[in-house]
Amino acid sequence: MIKINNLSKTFTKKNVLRNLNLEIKDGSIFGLIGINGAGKSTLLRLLSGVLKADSGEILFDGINIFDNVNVKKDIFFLPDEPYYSANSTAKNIVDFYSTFYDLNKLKFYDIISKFKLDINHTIKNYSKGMKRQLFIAIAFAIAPKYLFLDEAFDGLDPLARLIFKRELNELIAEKKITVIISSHSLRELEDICDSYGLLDGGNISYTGFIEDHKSIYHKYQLAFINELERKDFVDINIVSFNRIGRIIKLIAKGEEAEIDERLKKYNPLIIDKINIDFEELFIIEVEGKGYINE
Amino acid sequence: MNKAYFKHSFLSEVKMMLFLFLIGFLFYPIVCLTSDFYQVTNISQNIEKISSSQVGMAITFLAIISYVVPVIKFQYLQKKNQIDCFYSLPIKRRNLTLINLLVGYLQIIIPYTLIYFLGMVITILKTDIFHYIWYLPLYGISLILALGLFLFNSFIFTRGNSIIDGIIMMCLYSFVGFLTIEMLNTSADRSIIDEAYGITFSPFIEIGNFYDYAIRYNKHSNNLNILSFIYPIILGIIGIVGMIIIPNTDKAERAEQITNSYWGYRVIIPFYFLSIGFVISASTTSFILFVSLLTIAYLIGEVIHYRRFKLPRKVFIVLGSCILALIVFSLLF
Repeated sequence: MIKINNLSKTFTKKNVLRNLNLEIKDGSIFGLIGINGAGKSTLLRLLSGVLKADSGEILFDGINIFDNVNVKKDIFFLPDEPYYSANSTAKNIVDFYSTFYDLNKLKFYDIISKFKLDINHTIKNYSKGMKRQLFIAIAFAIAPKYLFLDEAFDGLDPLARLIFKRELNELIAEKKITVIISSHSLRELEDICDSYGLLDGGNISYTGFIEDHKSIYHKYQLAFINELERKDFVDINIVSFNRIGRIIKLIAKGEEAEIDERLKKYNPLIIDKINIDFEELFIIEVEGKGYINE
Repeated sequence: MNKAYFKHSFLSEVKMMLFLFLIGFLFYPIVCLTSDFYQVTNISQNIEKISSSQVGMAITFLAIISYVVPVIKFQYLQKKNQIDCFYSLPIKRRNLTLINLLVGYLQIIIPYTLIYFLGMVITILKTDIFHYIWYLPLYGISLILALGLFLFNSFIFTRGNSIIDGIIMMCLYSFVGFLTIEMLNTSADRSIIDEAYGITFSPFIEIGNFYDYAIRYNKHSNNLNILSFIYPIILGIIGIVGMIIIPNTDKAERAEQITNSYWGYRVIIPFYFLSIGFVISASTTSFILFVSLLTIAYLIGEVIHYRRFKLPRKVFIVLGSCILALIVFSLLF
C-alpha cells in the first residue's frame, strides 16, 4: 500500500503540493487527474523518489521511499519524456534497465512485435508515439510492484492505446501490480482505472472509485414544448446546462429517482437518460472550482 | 546492482574513450612521430642542448580531458528527463555519483595511458638521446594531479543547473586561486607567492616542464615547488567532499533552472569584479575607466546568469556594494 501523509512541495515560491494525504491500496489502477500545472507530474516524481518532499512522508508498505533502494527496486517510473542516450537502440535501453531490474526480455519483444516497432533503428529516429511504445514495453517487461506512468497515452494512436490497455489488464491479472496513471485522456483512464484522485490546489480534492463518483451525477436529454431556461428548474441541483432551442441537455446532482420525479413535473415531451463519462465528471469538478466560467 | 551498473557504465563509455584516445593521439604520439629530436653538443663551451621530448603535449591533453569528462559524466544532473531516469532507479544517489566518478576517472586515465606510453615508445624508437626512466614518475604524478582536477571540476560543474553554466563555472574557477594570490600580493605590495600556483591547471605545466628537463638532461632543473601540489590536493579534497555530500542534499528540481548555487554566479561574479578591480586599482590612474569596464563585464555575466536582459534588483544592489567596496579598497590601499 502507498500512504502519503501531509506531503508538501514548493518550487521557488510556488506551493505545488500542500499537506496532501492519500492512500492507494495494492492492486489499484489509480488515475491521477487535474488541470495543467496541478502537480500531477510532481506527485509522481515524489512517489518515484526523484524529488524530495519539503515535509510529510511517502510510505510504501510503511517504508519511506526517498533514496531507499529496497523500495525503489519495486517501482518503475515512466515520465512524460523518457531519457535515452544519443544513438541508442531499443537493445541498449533493454540492457540499461536490465542492469537495475529483472526485465523479462521475451515479454519485451512480444509487446514490441504487437506494436510493430522496428528495434533496429536508433531511438532518435522514432516518432513520439513510437518512443512511448518502446518505453511502455520496457515498463511491462519489468512488471514492477508499483508502476507510475506520466501522460501514459501521450502520442499513442488508437490501436496502440488498445494494445496498451490489453497488456496492462493482463499484467494486473497476472501480477497484481499497483498502477498510478496520470493522463489528460480521461476516456482511456475510465476504461482501465478503478479509482482516481483529482489534484487541485495542491491537494487531492476528491478521491474514490470512478463509478461511485459518477453515480451521484445524472445526465438527461429533454425536449419541451416551450423553451426553458436553467432558472426554470428551481428544485433540481443542476451542475451543467446546455440548451439548443427546445432541446436541453443537463446534468443534475442527487438521487436519481428524485431527479426523475422532479423533471417529470416540467412535462417534457422526451426524457432520455445518458451515461455520464469521466471527462464530463472532470469538467463538472473543475467548473465547480471556478476554472471555467460559463 | 552497483557492480552491474559500474560494468554497464564503463562499457557504454568505450566508444567515448576510443574517441578521446584518437584526440590524444593527435596531441602526443603524432607529435612524437613528426618531431625532429636532436642533440647539439658544444664541448668547448660546455653547452649541451637537447630538444624537448614533447611529453608536455601528453600532460596538456590530460589537463584538457580533466575538464571534458566531468561534462560527459555529470550532465545527467542538469537535464530534467535524465534526472527523472537516474534518480528513480533503484540505486543510492551517492553510489550513482561514486560510480560515475570512478568511470569518469577511468575514462581519463585509459586514453591518457595509451597515448602516453605509445608516444614514449615512438620516441624510444626514434632516438636514444633521452633518459626514459623519468617518464615513469611523471606518469604517476600526472595521474594524481588529474584526479584532483577531475574531482574538483566535477564538483564545480555540478553546481551549475545547466551544461553551459557548469562549463562556464569550471573555467571561472580555474583562476580563482590566481586572483586570490594576486590580491594578496597586491595588498602586500610584493610577490609573496607566485600567482601561477593558483591556476588549477598550472601544476600540469609545472611538472611537464620539470620532467621534460629531467628526460632531456637526466637531472632536475630546480626543485619542484611543493606549492605545485598543495593547491591540486586542496581542490581534490573539496571535490571529493562535495561530490559525496551533494547527492543527498541536492534538489533534483534545479535541473534546467537558473543557477543559484553559492558556488555559482552569485558569488563568483562579484568575486571576479572585486579581485580584478582591486588588483587593477592599485596599479592604474584610470580607476573610473576600469571600474566602468568591470561593471559592463559584471552585467554581461549576470545576463548570462539569468538568461535575460531584465535583471532582478538584487543584482544592482550587489553591484553597487561591490563598486563601493572597490572605492574603499582603493582608498585604503
